[in-house]
Amino acid sequence: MQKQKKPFWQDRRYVPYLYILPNMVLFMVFMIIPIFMSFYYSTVQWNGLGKPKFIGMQNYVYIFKDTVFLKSLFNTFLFTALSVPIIMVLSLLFAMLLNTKIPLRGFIRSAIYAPAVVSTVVVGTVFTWIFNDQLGLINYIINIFGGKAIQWMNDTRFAMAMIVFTTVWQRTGYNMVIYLAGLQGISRELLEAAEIDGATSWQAFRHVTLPLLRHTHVFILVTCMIHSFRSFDLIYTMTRGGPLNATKTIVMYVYEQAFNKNYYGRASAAGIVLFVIMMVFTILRNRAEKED
Amino acid sequence: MKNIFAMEPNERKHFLLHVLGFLFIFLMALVALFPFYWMLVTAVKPINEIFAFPPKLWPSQFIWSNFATAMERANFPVYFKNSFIVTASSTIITVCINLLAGYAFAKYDFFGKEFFFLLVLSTLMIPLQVTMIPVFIIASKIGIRNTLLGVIIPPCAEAFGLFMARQFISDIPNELLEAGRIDGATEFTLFSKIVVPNVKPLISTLVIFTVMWRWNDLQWPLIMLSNDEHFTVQLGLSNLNAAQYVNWNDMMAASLISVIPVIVVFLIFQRQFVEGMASSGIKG
Repeated sequence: MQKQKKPFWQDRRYVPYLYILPNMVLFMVFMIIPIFMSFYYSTVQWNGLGKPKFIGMQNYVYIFKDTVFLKSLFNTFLFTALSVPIIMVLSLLFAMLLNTKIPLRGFIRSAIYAPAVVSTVVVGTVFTWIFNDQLGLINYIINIFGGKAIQWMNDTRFAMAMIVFTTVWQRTGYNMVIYLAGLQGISRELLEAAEIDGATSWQAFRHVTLPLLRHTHVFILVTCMIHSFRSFDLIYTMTRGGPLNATKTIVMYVYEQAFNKNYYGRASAAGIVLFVIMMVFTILRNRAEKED
Repeated sequence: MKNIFAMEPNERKHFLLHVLGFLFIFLMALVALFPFYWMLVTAVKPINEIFAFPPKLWPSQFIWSNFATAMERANFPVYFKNSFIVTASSTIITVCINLLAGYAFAKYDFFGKEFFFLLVLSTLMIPLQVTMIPVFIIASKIGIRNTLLGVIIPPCAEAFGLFMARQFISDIPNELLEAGRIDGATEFTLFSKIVVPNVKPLISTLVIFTVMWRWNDLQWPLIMLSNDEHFTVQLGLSNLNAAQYVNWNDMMAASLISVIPVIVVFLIFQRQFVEGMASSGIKG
């Protein structure tokens, strides 16, 4: 008897292609093709209308001479260098404290995690209000201690500090939870052994806990750095990169060049620079993972 | 509680450190919660107390109707409706396409499998800023710019969901699927009756991630949309925040309301989400 032929949507040879089709089409159109287009756009002069004009590497030459781009690059690194270490130290400290027997443990953990659930825009609006120069709470507190009110939104010296503070508030709880998971993986016996050998709690922390959290450190460091290099919503909501570019990061620069000024070529070139930096992070992370 | 004066010096030092540690972390918990309290208090204050300096930490009266007033102003109902449409559709699409593709990558052998998977995986680290200009142009060409469809569809091309789905579905025993085949189930029945019911933690994880990301996202809607009638909540809030005159009553009320859907989804799916995180071994 001849085996009945199945229609192709029930044939095991064709089914997987059908299943991956929607995903792959989306990927092709909105991810893979755009990546190649982006490299192409970075070599043309184009304002979105008319024909793009090929100009080779001139966009890259231009942005590396553009003081605003260099400032954005500097600000991106500054923002990362300020916020990531503070977030890491605080989240580890909080995790250590919550890993002991203290009252209200569950409540405190949830409270510190809570900011992670809220959208960055909401965080930005609340802190815009808290940092308000005339009516804000922070200036009120400064006032109580006899200081002079700070124009957080308009003072180039303080705007970045405000962004960093807000980022730390938002991101610490999330990373604390990851550190807590890491701490719970450390066996009690190791710490007890250190104690029996006469180690102080600082020594036990320094020589047992800290090295054993190596993987967690790397994971948090890399995710925090990626996050801070990519972050857009907070700066857009609070300062739009101002005052006088004091909080402008590469991401803001790309957005502005593309969608406010219609310099698609320059914006693409700046995007590619960001892409290269991210690739370096990825390579570093992969190397760190391989070493273990 | 033990008498602190009856302790050995060493033990006393330890105890005091413990107390200090507790006080510190408790204070930090209050710092973390304070902005939420401040949002609420600002939202329900009488308007003249917003302009009071020093700020009033406790309002003289709670005007709960401020929430209703805020919703009536600045098109917020439209923003919320748009955000609901965007988030719900994106979540459904993400779950469907990733379950299907994840199943194919986990349980079928086909030509080009490794290639396709690596292709997707290699995009995991690509920042949006690299692709956003071309995607913006493509969206304009196919006519979905400045529509909700344009907000919904392009970000669905995202590697994380597929990666998780494949990981998860790999754990389903092959025997289960073979038994289904012997019983004469069609290929799609295998998927709908065996795979889907077995990956509920995966679905919860995808739902939580997608809802949190899409509901909270600002950058993509900002690029895609130019008409107020299409704005999402985040886009509306962000624009109002940058306005010359900000009505803090309305802003804080709308902000608070905008947080609720995410928290609800989080609470509904949380238990399975935690299971999903634990069994997939992915942190964060």
